[in-house]
Amino acid sequence: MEEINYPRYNEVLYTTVLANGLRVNLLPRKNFHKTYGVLTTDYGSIDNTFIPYGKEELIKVPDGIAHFLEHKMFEKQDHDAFDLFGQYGASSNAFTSFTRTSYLFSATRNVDKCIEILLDFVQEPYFSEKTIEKERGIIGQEIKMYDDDPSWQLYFGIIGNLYPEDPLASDIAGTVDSIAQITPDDLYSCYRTFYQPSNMNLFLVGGFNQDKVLDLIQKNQANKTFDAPFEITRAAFSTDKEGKDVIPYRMNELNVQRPAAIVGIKGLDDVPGGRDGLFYKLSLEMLMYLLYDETSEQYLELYNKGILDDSFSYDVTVERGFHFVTMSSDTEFPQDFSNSIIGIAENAQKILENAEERFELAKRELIGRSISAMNSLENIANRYEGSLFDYATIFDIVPLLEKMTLKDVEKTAESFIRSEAVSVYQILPKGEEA
Amino acid sequence: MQISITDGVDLILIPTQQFKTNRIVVSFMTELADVRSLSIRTLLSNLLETSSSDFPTQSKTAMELSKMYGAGFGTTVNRHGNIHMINFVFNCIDDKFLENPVGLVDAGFTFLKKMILNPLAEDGEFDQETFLRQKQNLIAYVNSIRDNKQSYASLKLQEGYFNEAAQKSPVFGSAEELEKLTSKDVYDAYLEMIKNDRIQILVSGDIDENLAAERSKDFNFAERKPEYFDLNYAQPLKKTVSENVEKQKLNQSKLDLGYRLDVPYRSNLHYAALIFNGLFGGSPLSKLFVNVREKESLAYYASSSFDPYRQFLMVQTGIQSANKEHVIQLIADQLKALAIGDFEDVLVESVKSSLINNFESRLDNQMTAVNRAQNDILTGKYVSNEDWIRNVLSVSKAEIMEVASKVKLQNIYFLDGGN
Repeated sequence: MEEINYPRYNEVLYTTVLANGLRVNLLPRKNFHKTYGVLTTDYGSIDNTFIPYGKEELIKVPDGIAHFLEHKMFEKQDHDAFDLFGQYGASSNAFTSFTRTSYLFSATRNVDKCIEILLDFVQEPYFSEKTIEKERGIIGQEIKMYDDDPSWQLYFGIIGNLYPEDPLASDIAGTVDSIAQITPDDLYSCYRTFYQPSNMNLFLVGGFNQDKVLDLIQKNQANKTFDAPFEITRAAFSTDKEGKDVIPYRMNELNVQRPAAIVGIKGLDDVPGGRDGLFYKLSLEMLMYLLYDETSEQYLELYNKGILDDSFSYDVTVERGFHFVTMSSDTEFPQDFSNSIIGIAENAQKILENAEERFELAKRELIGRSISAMNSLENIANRYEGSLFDYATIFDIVPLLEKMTLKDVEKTAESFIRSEAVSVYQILPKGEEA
Repeated sequence: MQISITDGVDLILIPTQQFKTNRIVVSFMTELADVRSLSIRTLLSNLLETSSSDFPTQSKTAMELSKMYGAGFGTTVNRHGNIHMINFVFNCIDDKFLENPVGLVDAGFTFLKKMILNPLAEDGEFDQETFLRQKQNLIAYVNSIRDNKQSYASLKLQEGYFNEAAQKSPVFGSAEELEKLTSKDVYDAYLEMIKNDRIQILVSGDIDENLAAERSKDFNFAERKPEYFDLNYAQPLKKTVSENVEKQKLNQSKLDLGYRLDVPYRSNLHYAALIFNGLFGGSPLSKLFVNVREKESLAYYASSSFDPYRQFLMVQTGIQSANKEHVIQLIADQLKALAIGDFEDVLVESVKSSLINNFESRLDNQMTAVNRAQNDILTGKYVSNEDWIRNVLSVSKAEIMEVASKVKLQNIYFLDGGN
C-alpha cells in the first residue's frame, strides 16, 4: 500500500491497485463513528456506443441503460442487496451521472460486512426479463417525476442546446420508450465491458483500521474469478469542435408560476490531462466566481434591478471528454437575464483586468470552502475523479489554489469563452407571451 | 457545558476536535403566535441575513465572509412544536489549518454582533429599498412553492390537519400576510425579539472557552425571562376523516395522509414510536416502501414521517391518479398489519440498527451535533448517547403494536394530476 501524507490536515491516504486491477483508496478517520464507502465504475449515461467485451464492432444500446443497470444491480435472484445493508442498519444508495456510476454505503457498525456486501453485489450481476419488466414501471415513474420538475427541464434544455447531437443531451434515466427496449443481453454486454475491476475504484473513508480493511478486501477479491482485462473502446464524442452544432436558443412552456432562464457555455478548448486538468477546472471555477458570484459588482447590479434573485446559481462541469458551465435563475425578465449574463461573459477580460484584490479574496474563499469540505466523508470520497485528474483527492486542491494567479484565470477566460459556444434556454409559464 | 451570560441568555460550549471547522449559532426563541408573526419573523430573518449597517448589501456581506476564508453565514427559521426560532449560524474553518492563523472565531463573533445588533435601519424602520426587495423576493419564493408538487401537497395536508392557524401555516408564513407588512411592523418585531426572546449561543469546535464567554457577554443582551417554553403541541382527536381534492394537470398525482399519533416527545413510548415509523414508512425497509413502492410498483415514493413535538404523522406518496383508492387501502392494510403484530422480529432489529446508525452518523456532522445539544436543553430531557441507544434496543414488539394502534387517520389531501 502506498502512503500519501497530508501533514497540514493531519490526514493519510492509503492507496493500492489489486492484482485484478481494482484501485483501492483508504482514508482512516479515527474520531469518526461512520464509514462511507463508494465503488465507482468509469461508465455513465453517455457511454451508449462501444465495443462490447470480446467483440470487435461498435454497438449502440438504448438511452438510459447505465442508470437502468445501476437500479437492477441491487436485485438478485433471491434477495435485494439493499435489504442486506438494511439488516446491518447501514444505508446504501447509488447514482449515475454522465460518466460515472457509483454504489455506496454508510454505516457506523458492521463495516466489514458492509464492505463485503458492496463488493459482492456489484461484482455478481443477475438480470432477467421478469425483473427488468418490473423495473420499467419504477424508472418510468422516476422519469415522469423529472418531467414535472422545472429545474431539471431547464438543465436538460440547455444541455440539449449545447450538445444536440450527443448522448449527453438525453436524460440520464432515458425515456419510457428507450428503457422499453432494454434486454438482459444488453445489460450483460454493458456489465462485462464496463464493470471490469480495472475500470473501477473503491474509496473508503471513516472510522476503520486500514490494514484490516485492506486484508478483507484482498481476501474477498481473491475468492472471485474475473474475465481477462479487455480494452474499452467508446464511440468518439460526436460534438462539433467548432461549436457549429450549438443551438443558440430554445424555450418551453410549462405549468410554472415564474419564468426561469439558463445560459450555457460549451467548452470548445482542450482540457489538459492529469493534475493540469484539475488546475484548469479550478481556474474555470475561479473565473465563474469572479464573474458571477454574489460578491461581484455584476451580480449586485442584476440583483438590484430584480433581473435575478436568490435562486440564481452557476455550475461548472468538467468530465471525461466534455466541459461546460451554466448560469440560471428564476426571473420575471428571462430575456434581460440572458442578455446580461452573456454580456458579462463577453466582457470577461475587462472585468478581470483590475481584479487583483477580488482575486485574492476569491482565493481565500475557495481555499476555505475546500477545507470545510473535508469535514464530510461523502465529499472526500465522491469528489475523487480517479484517472481524470491523475487520482487527485480533495487534499490536493488547496496547494493548486494557492499557486493560481490572475493570469491563469485570464488565460482560461480567453480559451473558454467563445461567442459561438453560448446558448440560452427558457421556461415560461403556460399561456403567457414570451 | 452551559454558562449563563445573564438571565435568559445562555452560552453552550460543545468542545470537539473532530471537525476542520468551528461553528457559532445564536438562537432567538419565542412562543408561536399566528400567521402574521410567522410571516414577519421569516422576512426579518431574511433582512438580517442579507444586510446590516456595516454591510448594507448582500455583496458587502458576502465579501466580509470571503475575507474570513469563505466563512458561511445564514439565518434559519424553524418551528419545534410551539416554539419558533430564528437562528444566526456562522461557520468558519479552524484557522490552525492556514499557514497564518488570523483569529477567525473572534472575527466571527464580531461579524455576528454587527449582523444582529446593527441592522440596516433608521428612524424605527428598515431601509425601505432593502425591505421592499426582500419582501418581494420572499413573496415570490412563497408562491413558487406551488411548483414543487411534493412540498406543496405536504403543506396542503398540514393545512387540513391542524386546528390552530400558526400550526396550519407553512413555517415561512403566507403571501397574504407578507403583502400587508410595512417596514415598521418588521422593525417593531425585531426590537421585540432582541428584548424578549429567549437566547442561546452555541459554540462548537476546538475553541478557547474564555474567548467564547467574553465574546458572548460582549453582545450585551439584557436579562429576560429565564424559563423555556413548552415545546409540545397537541390537539384533540377529530371524529371524522376530512378529505381535500385538488386538480392540476400533472404527470404524477400526490396522495398525502395525516394521522394523529399521541406519543409526546421522550415519553414512555417515544422510542417505540420512532421504530414504528421506521417500520411503517420511515425507512427503505418499511412496509410502505416495500409493499406500495416496490412490490406493487404503485408509487415512485411512499414514505412516512413523524413529528414528535406535534404528535403528527404524515404519509406522502406520488402515484397515478387511477390508483388512488387502491393505494389508500394498501396504506391502511400496512398500518393494520403493524397494529396486530404482523411483522418479523428481524425487521424490527434492522430498523433499530438503522436508527442507531443514523444517530451515530449525526454525531459526525457538526451541524446535527449542535442541533442535538440544543434540543436536549430545550426539551429539558437530556439523554446520553449510550442511553439513547439502550432505549432503542429495549423497545418490545408489544410497544410497537401499542403505538400502531394509537395512530388515527385525520385527513387526506389528493393532488389529482388526471393521469
